[in-house]
Formats: sequence, C-alpha cells, structure tokens
Amino acid sequence: MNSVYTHHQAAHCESGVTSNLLRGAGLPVSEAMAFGIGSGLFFTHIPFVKVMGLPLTSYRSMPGGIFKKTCKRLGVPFAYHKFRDPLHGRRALDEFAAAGRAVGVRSNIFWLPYIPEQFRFQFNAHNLVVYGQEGADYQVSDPVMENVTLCPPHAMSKARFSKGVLAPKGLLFFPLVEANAVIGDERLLLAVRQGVRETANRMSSPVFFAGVSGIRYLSRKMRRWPSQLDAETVKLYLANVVRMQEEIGTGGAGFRFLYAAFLQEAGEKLHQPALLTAARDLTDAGNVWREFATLAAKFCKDRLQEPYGRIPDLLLDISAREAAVFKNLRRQYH
Amino acid sequence: MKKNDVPQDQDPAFEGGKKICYAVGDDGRFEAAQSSGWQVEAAVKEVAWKVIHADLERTRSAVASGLASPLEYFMKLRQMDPGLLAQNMGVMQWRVRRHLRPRVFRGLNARWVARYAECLDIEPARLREYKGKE
Repeated sequence: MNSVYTHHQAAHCESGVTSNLLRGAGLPVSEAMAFGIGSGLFFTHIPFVKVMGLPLTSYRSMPGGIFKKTCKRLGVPFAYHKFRDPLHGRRALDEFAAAGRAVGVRSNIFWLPYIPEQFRFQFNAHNLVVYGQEGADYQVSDPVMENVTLCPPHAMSKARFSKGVLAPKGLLFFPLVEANAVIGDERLLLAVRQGVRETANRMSSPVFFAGVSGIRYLSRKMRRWPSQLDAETVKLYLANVVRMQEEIGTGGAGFRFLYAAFLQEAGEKLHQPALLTAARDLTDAGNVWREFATLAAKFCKDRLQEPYGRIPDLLLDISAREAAVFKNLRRQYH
Repeated sequence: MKKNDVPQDQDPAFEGGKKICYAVGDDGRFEAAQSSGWQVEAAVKEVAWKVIHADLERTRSAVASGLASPLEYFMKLRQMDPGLLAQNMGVMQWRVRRHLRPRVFRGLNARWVARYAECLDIEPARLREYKGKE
C-alpha cells in the first residue's frame, strides 16, 4: 500500500484526506469532488453558542460527515473505528503504520508539533493520514501541509485522545476498496445528485440561523454590533467571522471556491449545464465574500474609508446570490 | 477569483509554507493554486492573537504577584478553560476551579500535580515551581 499512497496538498483537511485515501486506493476522486459529494458546504451563525468566548460562525457542515457521505454515495465500503482505551487505539494505529496501510486519523490540531504555531488551536476535528512508520515516529501526510512529515507517537496520542467538543476518540478510518474497482458515470451522477441535493436543501433551510437565512441573520446582528459592544469587541467578533472564512483551510471565501470547483468538475464530467451555471454564480458570490473579508480587515486596522454599514450590506448581497444559486439547484435536483 | 489574483503576501505565520486556494485559471477552469498568505487573513489573525497574548501576559503577572496559580497560567498557555481542562483530566469542573486557586494549588499532592502536568504536557517541577518570571 505504501507505494500507492501519494500525498497531495489540499485546501481542506477532511475533503483532502478523503480524496487522498480514495486516490491511494485507486479511485480518482479529487478534493473538490469529495467536498461536493460529501456535502461539505454550509453556513451557520449561532450567537448563543460561544466558541472560546466568540459567537459560532461556520461555513461548513458538521465535521466528520464528508468522508462517510462521500464513501456511501460512491458505494465504497469503509472502516470507521473509535477507541475507548487510548492504549488499544495506539496499538491499532501502530499495526496499520507498520503494515504501511494509509489510514485517516482524527486529531486535535493543537498537539501536532509540525503545524505552524499560529494555526494551533484547541480544535478536535482535524484530519490527517498516517501511512507508515520511520523509527518510532509516524509518517504523516497532512493534506493542508505542502509535504509529508513525521510525528512522534506521544504527540499523536495526545492529539487523538484529547477531550472536549467533537472529541476524536482515537478515530481511524479508511476506505475498503476492492482491487480494480471503478466508479461508473451513472454511479457518479447519482452521488453528485445526492450531494448537491443535501447541500441545496440545507442552504435553503427555514431555520433562521442556517443557510442563506443564516447569512442574513449574521448581517442583521453585525449591523448592531457597534451600538451594542465596545470597539475592541466589535473588531474581535468581525475578525472571528473572517478567520472562519479564510484562515482555517477553506480554499478561499469560506469554501465557496472549493464548492464552485466541484460544481464545475461535476458539471463538465456529467454534462450538467445546471451545475456549470451554479459554479459561475457561486464564484461571483465567493468574490463578494472576499470583498467582505477585505472591508472587515480594514475595519480591524482602523483603515475603513466606507461607512461601517457597507460590511453587513455585502452579506445581504451574498445571501441573495446564494439563495438564487441553491434555489435553482433545488429545482433541478429535488 | 482569478489565478493571477491569488494573494502572495508572504504571511510569516505560514513559517515558509504555502496553502491551497481555489482560483479560476486562464481557460476558465478552477485549479488549486498555492498562496503564501493574504494580508486580510494576517490582519484578522493578529486581532485574535493579540487578545490571547494579552490575557496570557495578565495571568503571568498575576502569578508573579501570587494572585493566580501556575496551573492557571499553563492552562491558558494550552488555550484551555477550566471546563476543557476538567474534561481532559476526567474530573468535575468544580474541582479544577478549586485547584486553580493559588493556595489550594500549593497544597496539591505530587500525584495531582503530575496528572495536571501530563495533561498540559509540561514538566511537573516546572508546573509546581513556576513563578511568573518568563
């Protein structure tokens, strides 16, 4: 297996791991396709749930779903092991590593020594691949890094068995692909349909803090921040929204470009003009997200020339654009 | 975003690495392009880290003047709060909160200190002896 597994850098950890594992098993599934089939895109703003004291904003669906959904929808069987006992968990990983079998590992990014300091937060759903052993260290292919690297076992155990929200519980996962398996176009179309349908439905959710209404809700809340909070907190809140959009591997514009890449690839492969139109319109929405981030960053540095209200205005624009995209997709793939 | 517009702002936080951005190439197709950083991202990251560092510095000086325990400092250094520390320790949160008080912390036996040290990945001696100097 070792000879087959190749490291490809990706924008996002979970879609990257899924794609790398499937490619290693001989199924050519790109990161964008994994992200789309696994319904990775979402939006939610939940101010009454605080993460490290800041309102929760997320541009993606719940961590953990992409790998499972992608495999299920493509008809690929997979293994998914959690461990109650860290010792058992470690032994299992050691066995796979010694055999040179590439496995996906859920981890807390804070304890991974090879991640640059400023990206290390207590976040429990970072995915990576362990594909072998070198001495006592694990050979690690972390999709957000340019190159493969090594990780000492002590750090790996701490990362795999940290507690808290979304605790990884030592999770190991990998696809069980038979030799010479192929994914036919028919199967692929079905998988793409399922993936698009779920994302379009969830983005059009009637819940006020989810999907496109969630973007409008954030806009409404954001407009009132300056009158409700002190200046430093406004900056902190704004900065947090933009960090979720750009800093954690999103591929730009809060996964919008990554999803557009999926729509484009799937649209071309399967001759679906509706997906191609959606790709174009979502790219435009992504560009407005980037503009939003630029203005917000200017505000944080006290260099904003436009009135503050321009920032929430952009969110309304985005919400309208995305609403149109997903409404149309819903009509096509209900 | 066009491929030529992918920002290359040399963010020092990347420590020389690059990350992937999806952008539209000349032929109108999306491709994965490497980026060495974006000043917008760097700016918002700075806002977040300034708060963390200020809080850490406050705690450090509180430890130096005996108003906070070393445990509180190292907990914050590991970006945890009492709730998360308690979960990682496998004990009730009120016990952790109690142990955070300087007087109670001084009275903890070696086993407790060793457990906290293991959990926070530092030397037990350093956890016990830390005076808020550096």
